Amino acid sequence: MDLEATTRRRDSVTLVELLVANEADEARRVCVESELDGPVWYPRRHGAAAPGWDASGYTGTVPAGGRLALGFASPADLVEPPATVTADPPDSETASMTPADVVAELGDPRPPRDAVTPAADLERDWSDDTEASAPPRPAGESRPRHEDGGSTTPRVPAVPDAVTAWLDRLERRGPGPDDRAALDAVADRVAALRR
Amino acid sequence: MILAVTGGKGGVGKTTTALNVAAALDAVLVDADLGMADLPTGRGPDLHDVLAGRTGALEAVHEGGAVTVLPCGRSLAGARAADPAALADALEAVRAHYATVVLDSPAGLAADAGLPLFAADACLPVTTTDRAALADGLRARALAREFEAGVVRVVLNRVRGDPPTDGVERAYGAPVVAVPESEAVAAATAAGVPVTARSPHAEAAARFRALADAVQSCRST
Repeated sequence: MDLEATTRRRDSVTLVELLVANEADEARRVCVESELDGPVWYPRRHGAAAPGWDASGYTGTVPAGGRLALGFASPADLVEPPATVTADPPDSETASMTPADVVAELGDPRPPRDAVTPAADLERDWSDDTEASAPPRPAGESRPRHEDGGSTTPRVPAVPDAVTAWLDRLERRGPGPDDRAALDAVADRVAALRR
Repeated sequence: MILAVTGGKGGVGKTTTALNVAAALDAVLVDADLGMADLPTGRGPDLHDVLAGRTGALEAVHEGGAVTVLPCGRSLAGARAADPAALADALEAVRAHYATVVLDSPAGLAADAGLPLFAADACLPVTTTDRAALADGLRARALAREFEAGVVRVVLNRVRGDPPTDGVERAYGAPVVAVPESEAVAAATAAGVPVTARSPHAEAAARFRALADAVQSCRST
């Protein structure tokens, strides 16, 4: 793996241009690290680090027989060499991750415990056509009470903060196709009633 | 092959894309949105049951429709009981039997979006020309890179007129397939069927078939 570097110093900023060449017959993973004694000002897109970049440098793949052009800046003084390349670095942090690590790093997506009513619906009978053909209920909606002889007006408990926060997150994601279909059905019914 | 249809923002058309690409690839479509199922559910076990250990993955696959589907449950209790970390093993069991698996991934960048990318061999990021969608899509693309799910094509969805494909290609670093906004797609989506089945001559159907061809080319190299 060859690394060519071009550097210049301008307005107290060191600009580094790199060309990584892979002469092997197969694509190779590389890690390019800055040797400058200062922070790496890596390329950004829409406010976030460009893919592959972080504070230490760049990690990515160079195609077989191909070249990869990179660049970064730093307020640090110029040193030679400004960067080093490591081919086939030891298993990256993500390469050795397990699914449990992914959940720990990105956050458990499950609804909070407070949002879950007793799991009566987990025991449903798959041969129950009435249950299976009923339209899906919005998450959290209580089942109608057919059996008790008391009031049919369900109690409405206060919504826990954790549930509100989770529902707000879902709301920000926008409506899915079934939601749109449901909304369209409601609009049609309203139009029919108005006629 | 496991192919994740991803994209950071909700509402860009991931589910429609996943449905149509799965149909074109004759693949199993897995609704991997554990918190908000996007595909119709029916009788029988679903992904919540699989991830809670109540049934095997193959038992939850529903054949016989326009697309073979492994649906997800819709209850909070089911989502709470499902272990998201079990998704990768469940998908491997499906892949071993069906060869090609397409994942309809949720929006966002939490583990429910990351785990499909973790399990996938490749991905199709979906975006629109909306600025927020492009920005969120780039974040999803960065997550895909982190989990080494190579981008086959970027799907630029719901385009009108002359879309800025060059700019999107430069931003994403991957080729773009633009899918037009069309009544054919809307009608097919409303009916819950692929546009390739309902309106095979529509321009959008041709674009989805092109996506499938690109995926096939990718797996043969």
